[in-house]
Amino acid sequence: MRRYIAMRVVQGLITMWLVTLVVFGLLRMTGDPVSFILPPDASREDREYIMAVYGFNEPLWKQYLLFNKNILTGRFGKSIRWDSRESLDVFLSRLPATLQLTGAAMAFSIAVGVVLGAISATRPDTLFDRVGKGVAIVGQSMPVFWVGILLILLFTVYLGWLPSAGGPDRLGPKGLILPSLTLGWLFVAAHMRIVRSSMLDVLDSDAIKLVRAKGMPRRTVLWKHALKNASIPIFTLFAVNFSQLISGAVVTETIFAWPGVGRLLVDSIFVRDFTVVQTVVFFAAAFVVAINILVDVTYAWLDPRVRLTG
Amino acid sequence: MRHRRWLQRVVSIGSSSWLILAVALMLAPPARAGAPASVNTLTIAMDGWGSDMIDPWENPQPSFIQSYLNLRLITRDENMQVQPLWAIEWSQNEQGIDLELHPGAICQDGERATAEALKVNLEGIMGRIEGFKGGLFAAKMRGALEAFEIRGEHHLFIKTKTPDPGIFPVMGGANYHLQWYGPAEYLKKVGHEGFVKDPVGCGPYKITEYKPGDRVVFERWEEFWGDYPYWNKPQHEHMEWLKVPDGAARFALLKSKQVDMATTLPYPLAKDLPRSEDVQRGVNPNKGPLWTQTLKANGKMLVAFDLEMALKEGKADPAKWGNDPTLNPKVREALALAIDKQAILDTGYGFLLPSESVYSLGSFGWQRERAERRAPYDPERAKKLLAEAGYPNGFETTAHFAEFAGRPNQREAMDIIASNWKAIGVTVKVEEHDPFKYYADQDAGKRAYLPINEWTWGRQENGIFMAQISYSSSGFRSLYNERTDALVQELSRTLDERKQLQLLAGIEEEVFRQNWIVPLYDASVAYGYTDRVLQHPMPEFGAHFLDLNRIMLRD
Repeated sequence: MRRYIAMRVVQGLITMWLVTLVVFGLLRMTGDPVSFILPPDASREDREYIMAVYGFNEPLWKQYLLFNKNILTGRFGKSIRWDSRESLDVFLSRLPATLQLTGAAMAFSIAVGVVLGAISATRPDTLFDRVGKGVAIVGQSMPVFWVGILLILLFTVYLGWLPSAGGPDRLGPKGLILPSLTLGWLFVAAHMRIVRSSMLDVLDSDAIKLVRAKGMPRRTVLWKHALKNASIPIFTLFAVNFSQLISGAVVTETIFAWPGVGRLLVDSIFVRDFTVVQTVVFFAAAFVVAINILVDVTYAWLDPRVRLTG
Repeated sequence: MRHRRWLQRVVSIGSSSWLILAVALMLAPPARAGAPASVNTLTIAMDGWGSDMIDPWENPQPSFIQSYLNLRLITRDENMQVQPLWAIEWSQNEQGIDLELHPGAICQDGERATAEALKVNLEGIMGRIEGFKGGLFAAKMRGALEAFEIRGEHHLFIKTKTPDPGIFPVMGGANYHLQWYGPAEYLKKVGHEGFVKDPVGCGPYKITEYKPGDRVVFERWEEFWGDYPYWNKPQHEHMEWLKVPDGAARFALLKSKQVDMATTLPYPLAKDLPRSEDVQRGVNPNKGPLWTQTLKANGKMLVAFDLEMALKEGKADPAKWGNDPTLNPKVREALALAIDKQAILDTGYGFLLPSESVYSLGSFGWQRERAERRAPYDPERAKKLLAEAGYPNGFETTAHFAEFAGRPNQREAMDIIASNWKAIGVTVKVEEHDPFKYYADQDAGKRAYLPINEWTWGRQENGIFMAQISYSSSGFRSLYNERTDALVQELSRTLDERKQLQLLAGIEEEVFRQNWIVPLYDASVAYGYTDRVLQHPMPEFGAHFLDLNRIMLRD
């Protein structure tokens, strides 16, 4: 088991290094950031001055060495756009808002997805199941920005019940409702489908037949026995989806002016703030890799066959 | 029967009541017109505020936060007249620039804003103070300013290397791409990082909360020294800016009154709202819960033909481009005549403005009588000109553009132009580019986008700056010949305003004579307000994001 964990960690580190290398290369291919620092009407002399001042005239290999040194020392470099602040500080200042948003979105999508999926599984091919599948398809088809704008139109503009922009510091818990519904809605469908499919498999199993034969109430059979046995693939999906949410609530954060990591990433990409983009991507990749390692290790612990086949 | 009589009685009582109420409302005195002396918070949803850099000695991009935290030397009022701020008197001669500063000017830490402070600020902006990278115009300032002479506590003389009239507009702060000044001793003491952590300014507001890229909260500085009608202690105690990139989301905030003002409303949303300028610019017309003010001349769009210069400079292959149709002035004239500019203007819901000028709308050098001439649209004459030029069946060509934020409707304009030119036999392939690379390449003089490209300019209040960068061989995005070169050189040595205007007019005439450019439109920005806002006086053509301190609220 230890060998398996070590192998997974090494693979994760290699993945991380490759991600940072690719991001570094791709960013540099987009051109120099000076064009974004200066207004388009700036003169040639101003441009040359800023290139020298910010060190963008250094050779690429030198910039890459500095980049790696920054990561290893945990500093990541200074941002260009955000008033020369440390890019790690900039990232950490935005992280809590993203964690709140994605946590709330995940909670919503799990709660609704699990309930709908479980009930659909007990009523296959009924009207409820068909409606549920329809809701799932609609949910996965509607673009996030459209859902967000519709919710704003209804709950903010017409009804005036909920605020629509600003972060948690400004709006408090009420401000979390619309953005988390918008973001979570996307995953309700996915969660519902996986729960339904896992539950259908489990409900047909001998173990559940035995539990039913013992005369257990239907509710106990469903929520205590069947759901528990169906939970491994379900929680795997939850974990993977959560890591995706963390790294990319970009559209939702833009629509709702939510001061999170997704919006920071987009703003930084637009202005070629290389250090901040690299920092965000590094941590997003690290999170995804960590979650995947955790899932793999958990699987290996639960099912030794996984360990043996690698 | 009894029920019917009862019902009739109820209806008649009800009707009378409504009638009495209606009369009472009509006769009731209007809502209080005067604004309270002080209100708590003004909240604004913005698409952006320029750069997030608030250090005046390290901001390579304009940052409008600084207009409220830091100082400018001069400004423009709502009548576009230049007015004093920190500088109360100024003049320029062959030797340099003479400045008299407000004797009462102090900073929020008590430091006095003296001539010495201005001198140190200029050195900081030029990147000459250790620990600071320099401001937006560091290179330009270094090239122009030679020495400083303190002639009194509030009197500074700046020796310039040449009597270039384009320098003071850059330093002064009355134009776009402004320059700001802060508390010199405090900046030197705490350095850039210290200033960013705990910013102190000399302007009417303090910053109490700042999340770059997200939110700024200002607090009125109660001891602010400014005593001008256009720059004094604001009415509101707090001003909050929220960055809301999405236009529909900004409008939703405004409509639901979560904010008092929203900048840059999308044209289709703004078009149906009451405009203040239909009654009195900048004043709530009282025609509903929302109103707008149009800030004109936010960006200028024009088509440019710079192949001639590219060949002259050796930046285009003569074998490929030496016989290009756009080298022929008759062809350029034909292409200009074939553009239906009204159709382009119609895509903007009234927010795109015609301007037959090479200079920004309302800027120094812009001539109203020239600019307001409508360019002819004559496709038949265009076809004749093409035939005379040797292209009776038209030709194929390529046009380039890039859609830069804040410069709207460029794609629509290029599509209309392509269609107009197709009608006269000219098939144009329109290529869109990454805006930053596009302008960077243009500004680096690469002449990479041939033979036709679209220029856009942000607002420029001073035509001298436009002429220097656009129509001389030393400019960085230039269309020029010997005549325009000579005129710009003379302009760069002339301090006589009347002469400057004559030279600017001469440059403009030559540019049009050569058909190097086709002006398309000047774009405006619509600011939206709730009815809580009573007024927001600001210049019709001025730099945006200014004069928020002058907003008056109902309560």
